[in-house]
Amino acid sequence: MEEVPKSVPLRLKAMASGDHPDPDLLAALAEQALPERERVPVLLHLSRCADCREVLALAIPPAAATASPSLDTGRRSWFQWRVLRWAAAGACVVIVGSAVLIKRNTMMTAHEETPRTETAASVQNRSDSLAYTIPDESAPSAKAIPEQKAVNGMEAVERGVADKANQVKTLKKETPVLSASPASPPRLSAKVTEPMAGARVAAGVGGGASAGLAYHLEGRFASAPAPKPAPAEAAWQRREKELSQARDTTDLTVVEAPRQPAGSQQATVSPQNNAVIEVQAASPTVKSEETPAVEAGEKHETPGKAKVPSNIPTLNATEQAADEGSGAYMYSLKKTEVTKAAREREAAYSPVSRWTISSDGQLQHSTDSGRTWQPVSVAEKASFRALSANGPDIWVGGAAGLLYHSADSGDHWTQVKPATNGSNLTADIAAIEFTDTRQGKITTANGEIWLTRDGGKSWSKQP
Amino acid sequence: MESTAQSVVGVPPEVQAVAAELYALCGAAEFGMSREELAHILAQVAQKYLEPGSPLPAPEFCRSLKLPELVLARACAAGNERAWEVFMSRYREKLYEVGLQITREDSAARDLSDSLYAELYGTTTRDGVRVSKLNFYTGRGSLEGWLRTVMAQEHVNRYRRQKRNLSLDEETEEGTQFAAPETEPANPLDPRLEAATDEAFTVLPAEDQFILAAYYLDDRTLVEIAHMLSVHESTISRKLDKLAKALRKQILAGLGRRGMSRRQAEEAMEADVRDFTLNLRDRLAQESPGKTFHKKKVGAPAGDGNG
Repeated sequence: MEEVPKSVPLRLKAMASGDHPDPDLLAALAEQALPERERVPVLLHLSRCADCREVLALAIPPAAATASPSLDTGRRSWFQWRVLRWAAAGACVVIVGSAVLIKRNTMMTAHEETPRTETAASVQNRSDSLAYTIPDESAPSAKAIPEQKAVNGMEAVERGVADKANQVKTLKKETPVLSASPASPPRLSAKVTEPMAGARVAAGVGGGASAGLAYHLEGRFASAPAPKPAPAEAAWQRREKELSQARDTTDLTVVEAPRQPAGSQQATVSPQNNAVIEVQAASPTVKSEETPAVEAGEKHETPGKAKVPSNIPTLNATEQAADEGSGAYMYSLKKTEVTKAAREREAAYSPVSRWTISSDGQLQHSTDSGRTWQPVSVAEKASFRALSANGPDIWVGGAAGLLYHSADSGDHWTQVKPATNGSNLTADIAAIEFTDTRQGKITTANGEIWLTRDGGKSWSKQP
Repeated sequence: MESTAQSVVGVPPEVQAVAAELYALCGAAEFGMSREELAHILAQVAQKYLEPGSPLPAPEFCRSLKLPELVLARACAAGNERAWEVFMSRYREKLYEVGLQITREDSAARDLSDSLYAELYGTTTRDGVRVSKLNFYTGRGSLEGWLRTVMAQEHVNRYRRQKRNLSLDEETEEGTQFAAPETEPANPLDPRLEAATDEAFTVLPAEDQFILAAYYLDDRTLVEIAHMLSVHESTISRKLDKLAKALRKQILAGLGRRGMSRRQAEEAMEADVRDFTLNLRDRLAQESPGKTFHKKKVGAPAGDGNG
């Protein structure tokens, strides 16, 4: 702070102070109770009189200091913590409320029957950057799905449609949207991601209905062009027809992984008629409570029920819908054959079996869809914070690189110490992701990424 | 209730009206005070603070007073027992707490608060009339604030009296017994610099001068100064910075008007303070404890701080 010229304090000291104000005026000055015309002469005297300044300093109570208002009232900012904290609280309430609403809608629609239907118009109504599929309003059934209107993602989809990009945008929301109409054949709206991320289709279908895939993709786009003829739709539609001919029902089953932290579980949607669509359930919205566990081989008529029929030629078809004018609306279904190993995995990967980590780091296992939980002893005094479960293949990680693996649903555990190029994994493990029994990724709290392609036998550290 | 206040010749009708209006609200009846007595008190206070032709009307001024506390204080000064009961319950302990905050020592706090209490109660009489310091409370600020100020004044007075009464041994300890006499400094303050500085002060607001005095003369911290003015510390910091720059500029301009070149002016401003003429004793004597703490004397109660 710049200093005043040295003559200033000298002259201040030399100035005559005049009559002393009485205690009433000093007290009133301290309490900001003096009008300006009286305040000025008192302050002028105080600037000259050291004694009165001393009296004033002694007379002001200590509590007045903390409660003293600022004279700069004109510069009060809206960005004070007092204002911001209420804004933050309000924003949290809005976000939580929206999440609850979305979840409710998802759960409600997941329970309703959605027989397989196909709507050519909806296929034709494609546009780029489809984030959500929305029932075509032109279709009769679309009008009877008021609950879809309530889904918060609808508006986002319409905005994405208007974008005219040529790529599928990765959905921000992981919540699968299931639409159903009580007044019309229920339909499935499936959200898809880029092919490299795997097909993400949450499907729940109930009831016997016509052949074909239990879900269909519909879209309504604000700026969608006029329906296009067959070539783009024909491929997947043709495939659907092929499948439908081989099926009796349109059940799609959801073989759901136990509820786990996001990114560490997988769910498999298995249409009863041998179509397997791999699903990565990244949010807890695909939940066992709402999608009750299904034993392998069982047939269920409500969406989301898991079923693993045998000898099912899995349907995985990957294709990119071509749209001449308005971009792509992509989904991917990849056709593979169900191998014996996959069948065994799916059989063991029963939705009744769930894994979780408690708040105190204890690994827990449920065999009744989460109704009851049993602690699993992995190692003495071990505390975990990350988990990946692929059927019987369980990985758990904790602090300081603590990592255990079980290939038999937790009966036996092996400690794994990832190392590469003389460097060991010693950081706290924050997340474990295994897409299958061989390929996995470990993320640590300090941002390290460790990869394995052989089930943990060897590791590499991502630079 | 006997009144110790100086009689006021006639009470303006507007003050009487205000007294009638506020009589029920201020609790005067509880302490045996009549409407006429209340009107007299209000007129007295208005006469003390309101200049003839003041823009503030007397009724409005009376309404701005802390009437319930004024009534309580005046009733206590008049010896009303009920008023003393209320005063004791509200302020007896507070007097001690204030004393402790001021003196920071238990025994000194008790001594100070007891001494003030005696003055408030009116242990002395004049012409057969009890003299209480509470008669000088006018309701401009709160009664508690007034009590704090009075106690602080008494403490400062006691401190100065104690300083003047230092024993020889104590002077020896403090090193003042054989203090060297003051010598005339080599370089007196340039009269042009004095004048330019005084000129700069004339345009400086009173609050700014107070801040400068508190900061540079009393060595108070920004927090303490902010405390005294009921503002935030950052406000004081900003003001001091602005003041320093403004004063430099104005004094430079003033010295320039008085024939100094810029270089001369800057040299004069930066000259060592110790070289200036400074007779602190004379100046401190001028600012010695006030003979009166009242702007206008109302009676001559004993127990006022005397220098």
